[in-house]
Amino acid sequence: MLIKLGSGRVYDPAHGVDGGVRDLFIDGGRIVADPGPDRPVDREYDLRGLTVMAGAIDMHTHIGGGKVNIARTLLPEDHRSHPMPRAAGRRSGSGHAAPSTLATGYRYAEMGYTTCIEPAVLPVNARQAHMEMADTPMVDTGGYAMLGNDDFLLQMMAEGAPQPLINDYVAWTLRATQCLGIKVVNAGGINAFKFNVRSLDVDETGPHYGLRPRDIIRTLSRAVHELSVPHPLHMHASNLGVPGNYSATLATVDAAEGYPIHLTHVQFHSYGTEGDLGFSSAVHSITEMMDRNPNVTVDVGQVLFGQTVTASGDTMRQYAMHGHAHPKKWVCMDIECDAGCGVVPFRYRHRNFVNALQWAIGLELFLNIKDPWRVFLTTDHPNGAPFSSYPHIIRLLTDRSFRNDRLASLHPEAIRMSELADLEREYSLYEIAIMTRAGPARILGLEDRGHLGPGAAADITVYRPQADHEAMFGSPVLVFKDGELVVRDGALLKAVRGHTHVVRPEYDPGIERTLEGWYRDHHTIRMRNLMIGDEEMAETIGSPVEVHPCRR
Amino acid sequence: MKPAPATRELFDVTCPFCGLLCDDLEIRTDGTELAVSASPCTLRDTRFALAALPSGPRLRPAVDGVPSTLDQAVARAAGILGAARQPLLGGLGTDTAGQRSVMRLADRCGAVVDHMNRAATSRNIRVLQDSGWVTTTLSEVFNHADLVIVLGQAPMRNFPRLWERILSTTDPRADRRRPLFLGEPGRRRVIALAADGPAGPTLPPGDSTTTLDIGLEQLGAVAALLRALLADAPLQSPGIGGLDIASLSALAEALRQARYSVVIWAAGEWTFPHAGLAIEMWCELARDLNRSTRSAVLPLGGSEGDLSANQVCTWQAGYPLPTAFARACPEHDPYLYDSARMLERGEADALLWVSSFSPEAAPPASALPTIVVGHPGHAFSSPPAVFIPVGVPGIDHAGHLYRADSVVALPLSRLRDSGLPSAASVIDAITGRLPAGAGA
Repeated sequence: MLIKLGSGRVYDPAHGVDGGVRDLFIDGGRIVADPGPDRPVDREYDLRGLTVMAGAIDMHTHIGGGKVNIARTLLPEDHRSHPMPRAAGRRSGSGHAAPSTLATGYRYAEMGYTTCIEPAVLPVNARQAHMEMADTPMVDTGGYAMLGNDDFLLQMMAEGAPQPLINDYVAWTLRATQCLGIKVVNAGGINAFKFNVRSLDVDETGPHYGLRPRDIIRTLSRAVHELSVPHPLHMHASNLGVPGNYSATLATVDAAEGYPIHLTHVQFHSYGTEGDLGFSSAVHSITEMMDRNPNVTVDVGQVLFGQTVTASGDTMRQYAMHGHAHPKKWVCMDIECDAGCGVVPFRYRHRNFVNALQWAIGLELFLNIKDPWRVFLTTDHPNGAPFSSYPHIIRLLTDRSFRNDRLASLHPEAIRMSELADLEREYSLYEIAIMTRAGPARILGLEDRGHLGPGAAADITVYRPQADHEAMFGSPVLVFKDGELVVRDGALLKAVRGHTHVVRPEYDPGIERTLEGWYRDHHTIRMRNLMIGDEEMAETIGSPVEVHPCRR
Repeated sequence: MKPAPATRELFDVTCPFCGLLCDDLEIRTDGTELAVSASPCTLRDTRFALAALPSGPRLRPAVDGVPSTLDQAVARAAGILGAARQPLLGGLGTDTAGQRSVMRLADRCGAVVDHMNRAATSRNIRVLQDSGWVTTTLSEVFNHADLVIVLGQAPMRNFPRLWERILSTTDPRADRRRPLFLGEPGRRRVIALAADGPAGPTLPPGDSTTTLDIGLEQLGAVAALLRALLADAPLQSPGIGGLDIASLSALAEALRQARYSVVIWAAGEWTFPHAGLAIEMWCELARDLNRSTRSAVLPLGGSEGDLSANQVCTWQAGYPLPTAFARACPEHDPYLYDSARMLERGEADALLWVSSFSPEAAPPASALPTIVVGHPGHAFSSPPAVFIPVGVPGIDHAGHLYRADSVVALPLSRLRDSGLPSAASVIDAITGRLPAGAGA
């Protein structure tokens, strides 16, 4: 069936199209070139006066896996106050901070998102992550497998294993867990916490293995690069949330020694110690570092005010923060010599100095990082705020007077400490399209997503231009997933299933012999049973894989 | 002459019959008969024997006790559920795929969903929901724990290979198997409390094991006293049960000195009043210890697919079991939607019972129109309205189950060709046959 989207105002940064009026054609779920007048159009949408972008991509959102389900279990109050009734074409669900999977998929689609990446897939828990994502309809999904706290890697490194062997293990992990990238959370810190170590800076030596986080960061960023995995090492740096942690963030970049590295939720890692209260913005240290290091990209992890829940693999930091739990209950878990998880509910308050400054620091990062291809819009859902707040953030970025009105309501000391009131920049729609579509697709290696050129998957979002960008981005006029119209006027028309995006660098299968012995001798699951096959993904898990090429 | 069936040998097969999900089974099969070889386990051997295919009509569905086609049985089941004002989907002895199908059906027909083991699961979940906890998983226990406290008899009794696979630091049949962080030879103390039963203590005797005599119902008080001792609070107590204050102090000191202590229980046997508070006390003890050393709890579950059903319900509805879809949105209330209470009080008018792991988990006696989607070995004193025999997950079809720690989901294999459908496919078929608009 040939579908024509006629005369929309198109924002397609991958092709340099900045609001030009264009026709788009869809055939078989893909965008195709204008087939010419001889081919009859089966269905035509008149998009005159409307704004057209590719479907949005959330490159860091905790939507699947054990910690998310613990967060759901922990917070029945969050679910009771946000019920979502069943209706034609959609099943019931619940939740705001940690919504149920079906509700998550529906809401993402209603905001024009078509791809979501779960950033913390524990290899031993990858099945659960994929099952939950398979039950998250409407969107394609993918995951970053967590390494850097697993005893197998640390043991190999302590024994001085050569880099090619480590590369084999990293590639095997991607294959076994059906993931798209590699994530490090507090390098070595989760592991050290199991030995009762409570903090670990980048150049401190950890217990048992005698390794520094620096060694782990260098080794894994190099492995990801040498395997030609498109997404750089996805790095949750050391000392999350600690005043003065910007120095650990800079040391983390230094440790990567020029290999590509993505600093995730960098807002939580951009703190100084200045001011009477010993907490300040270190955004300029971060942006100057980015100017000097073109190998660095970031996503922000914007904080917004209200109730949410923090869910992280970083047990060391989550345990340290448990006293701030609101409501007063929290979970920490050590997991399978692999990693861990910590779940701490939290309410960010605008009249609280620290929370208010966190909010401002996030926005300072967005506005000071000049290149929109190197910064991505995230709240680290649900850690900074639920993903459903993205339209609000877009308005904060595109509308200075709105932003300054909000700023004026915050804790006065935070206003005084922040340069935000003086920042004049307003993001353009073109820059928003880069930051939420073209940029994430490029950094993830999803060559057929995030753009509107021929060959791209027909994931397309159409908005009605409005001065209030929160309203505009919160309720698109039309959303197409793989060429199918799934949302009209902000309401779901039908539920569809997505795919799982993976990459698959080659490795020497000899590593499996070593791993087979390791699992047999020290684990409680066999290596073969940790690995997830393609048939299992398609049939019992329910989300078939789509393999993307490994190239930089 | 029939050709001899080809014999297959399968390795690293997962056993679906208790929460340990031992995945080191070796199976020889000709496609029908299954020969299992692995370390001894009476539970596994019994369940595999029960799964041997009965011959005759039991493999066929039945409507009102009369053999029927699958289509007839599905149509009758859909008719019952479609006409019911408050259906109850119980048992839930199935894999994650089966539970996904249960959830879809429940949302369609406005049912309450509840698992047969849910009272036990809730004892733990309520603690998580009220205060949270610090937990760990089986491989962490094996490698890190230098002190393990086992509460009650159920951990050793219901998880028969717990000692061999998790607690023991040596394995006579695998000399390279050893904990990573306990030195050579592995040093782990295991202390059992309230572990004495009619058959004697459940821990193997040895230098590293101790069994302390105390009643299960006194365990909450034991944890409270240990917390007080660890906090150096002045105590007037002479001790509790058979444990004097000197033994309690020694236990407290062992916990304080341990680098990584773990407390294990299985809540199914904690049936005394306010058992949840006793569980919470042990969780708080472990949290207290984390101020200076490492400690964690490990509530064991995973039998009859209970943790799998709970996980799927939680991610799809946002709530653990039991959850009701009686109104347009999911609702969670462990008292109101307790299936046993609802049946007793006549608050449901149709029952779908899923039980595919064993014939022993039969539906509760009730006068309700009952649909059983279950193990072919189920025997009924009076036949349910509909019986649809289904395969055993991990024997007749592939799938997934959650392990005792509720973290690791293991793959289940198809070991033989029985022709029995999966519970998931049967439940999906029933959902597909519901009258239009049922429950909506």
